[in-house]
Amino acid sequence: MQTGKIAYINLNKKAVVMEDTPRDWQLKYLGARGVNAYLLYSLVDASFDPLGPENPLIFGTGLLTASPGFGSGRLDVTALSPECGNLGSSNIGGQFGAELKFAGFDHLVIRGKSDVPVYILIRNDDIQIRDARHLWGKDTWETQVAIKEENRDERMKVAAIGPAGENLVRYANIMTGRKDAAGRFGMGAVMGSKNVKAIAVRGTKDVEIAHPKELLAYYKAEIDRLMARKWTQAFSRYGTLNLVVSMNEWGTASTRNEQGPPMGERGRALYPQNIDRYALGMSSCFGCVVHCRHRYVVKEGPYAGTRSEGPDFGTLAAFGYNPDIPDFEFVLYCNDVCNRLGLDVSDSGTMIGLAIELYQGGIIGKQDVGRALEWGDKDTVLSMLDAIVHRDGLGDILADGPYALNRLPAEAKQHLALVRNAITGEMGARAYPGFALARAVSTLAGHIHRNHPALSLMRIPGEVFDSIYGTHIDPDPTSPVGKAVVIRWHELLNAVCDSLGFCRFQSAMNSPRAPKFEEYSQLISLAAGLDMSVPKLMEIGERIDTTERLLLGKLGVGSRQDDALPERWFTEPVPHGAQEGAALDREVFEQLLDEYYALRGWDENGIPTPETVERLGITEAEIGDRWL
Amino acid sequence: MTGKLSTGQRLEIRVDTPACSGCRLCEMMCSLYHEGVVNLEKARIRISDNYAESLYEPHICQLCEPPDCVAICPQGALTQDPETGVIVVDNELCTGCIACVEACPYDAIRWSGELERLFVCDRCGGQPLCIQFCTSGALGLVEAG
Repeated sequence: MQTGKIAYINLNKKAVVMEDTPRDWQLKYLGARGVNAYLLYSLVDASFDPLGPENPLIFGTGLLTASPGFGSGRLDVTALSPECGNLGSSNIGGQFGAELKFAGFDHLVIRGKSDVPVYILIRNDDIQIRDARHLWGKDTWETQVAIKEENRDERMKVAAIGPAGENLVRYANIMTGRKDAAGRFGMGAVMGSKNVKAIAVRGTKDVEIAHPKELLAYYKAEIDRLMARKWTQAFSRYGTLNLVVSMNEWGTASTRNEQGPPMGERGRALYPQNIDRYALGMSSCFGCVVHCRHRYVVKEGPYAGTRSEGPDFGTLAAFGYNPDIPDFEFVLYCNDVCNRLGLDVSDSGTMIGLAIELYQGGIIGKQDVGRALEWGDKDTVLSMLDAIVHRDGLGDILADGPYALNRLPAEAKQHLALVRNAITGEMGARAYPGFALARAVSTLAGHIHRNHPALSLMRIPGEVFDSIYGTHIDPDPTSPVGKAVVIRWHELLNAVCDSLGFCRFQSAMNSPRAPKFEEYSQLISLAAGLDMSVPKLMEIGERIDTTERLLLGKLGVGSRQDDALPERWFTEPVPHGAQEGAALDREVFEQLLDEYYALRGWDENGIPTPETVERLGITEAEIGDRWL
Repeated sequence: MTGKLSTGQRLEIRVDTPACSGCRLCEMMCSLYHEGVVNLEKARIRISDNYAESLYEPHICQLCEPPDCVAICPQGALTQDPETGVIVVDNELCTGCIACVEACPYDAIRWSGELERLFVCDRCGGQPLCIQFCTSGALGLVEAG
């Protein structure tokens, strides 16, 4: 397999240095999230300002991005997060990652700050820094169209920020296509802080394949197996929208920041089948057989003319269930608004929910907001979105995400669930100890996609669990037995999946029969010609996740006291629904932490021991003066 | 790889544009099968983005009878296999004038300036890979009769 390149882009000097990706880095970290984490760990220290020119903004394609794989269009964007102040890592689909690979690049490392707005234009080996003053202020979609048109290239792929990124909203996204987002953790704000409006790429190079014939045969069999599964077929039809049905029926879909009762019958207005009225067909990321979201258009009514892709589960939660607005068209509209502005849907929904709750509780008043904030009120939501993106009034405070708490009355603090200063969702963590552990130790603060043990919720025979995880696991999600092993296993799997450039939705996150280490090992052998056994891949996963843990340590948030969950999860039982009355037991939680640290080779304070660091061969990369 | 099909069958490919999800597995697999690499520029099928209409549009040879591409070629570099309908390119004769590219009503022939070669679908010798990997229903074989 041909090794790609890394481009080190210095915006201060408008200078670019290109080098071959060291083979050693790929063998130790694969690519994408893994190499990105290694680079960030090597480049940052705790004094960096996430919105300062020194913060490196790193784009990484996976080892097998653009090769046949399980949703192989993925790319990881990594930097210090302006939203939480520690690790920011956002995984993005669509077509951009594959195009970067076709241009011959594994990674882009962008540092410094341009004096005027620019976009970075990449055509194979040619990288130019272009004036983007005429694009500043445009939304993410207009920007993509304008760049393709001015370069007369319909096949060019563009990743852009919108007004949210320009205005340094701390949860601004980088967007490509109509809805693919490097969402959460504010990578769009980092890009905006550097005055980079967009990155445009067009590549025409070969992605070399070690064993084409054998790969074709193996991949065809795997794809047929995958598509024969019920879970894949459900995903192919409605994607993550499927999740809302059980959450609404179990009463676990939060309304009014969990202050309201479950939506019940009213919640059916947000069920997946509602998309059928607006759908034009499905949409896929590059190289994906599942196609998990819709292309849609709204033709009539107050939101006529809305054209986008999606929405997904998070959008329905943020703009339907939580604000108590059971109007599917409104969700479709908010989805398009957020994607165009380059605002993260989940965090926007959370911050607006917080504002309404504070207003309703009398913690902030009309004099702070300029208007009443009401549950179930569309104008409340739309006016707050507008205020956030333009940093207007209360919106300026809400645009700071968790840092808004520094500017709000002290009582506000208990109303925003944070882990390592990042917004987190409870999603069963009070009822299920394994879920709580996952939230606490995720290297991506409070985020479910590092280690979410969704399999625990499926009624799977105990022996299937035992064979996946290699030890006895109590299949009852309310039991802590074996859950430290489960969380570690998912962490290693996701680290490998992310670093290959594959989609987590096609991994064993969603089904016990979905691809795991064995299938990844086969694809690496056939596509890249590298011999990586299952134990070796697990070790790579451990190295990636441990490097991220060491990075957190470097930033002062990587020990036991930081693996802390919101106090309310321990003290306030779930008020409604199937998990009513459940609260997290502190003793059980602390014991799980002990068990987990021991499994990971970390000390009782949650810090990787020198032996573990040495066993995994983690050192800092020699980046040298590539910046200067 | 020649235009001859092992089966000698004429394979009509049905294209259902709205169904295409834009995954580009057809382009990936086409280039992998024919060229041994993944490179969409070397695919004999092409998906174009019609972003105004939210459509991904597959372009693949429809085996026209008579084929405009063959008729317009000033060099006689293109012929149509009488049994299979596949367009056969003689790269020795082709000068890259791209008259055929302009003439094709389906945008299904492409000229690669880099490789100095024409790319047109050869039906993979009887079992088109693009159809085998299409899970959205955008591509399929038209049943005989």
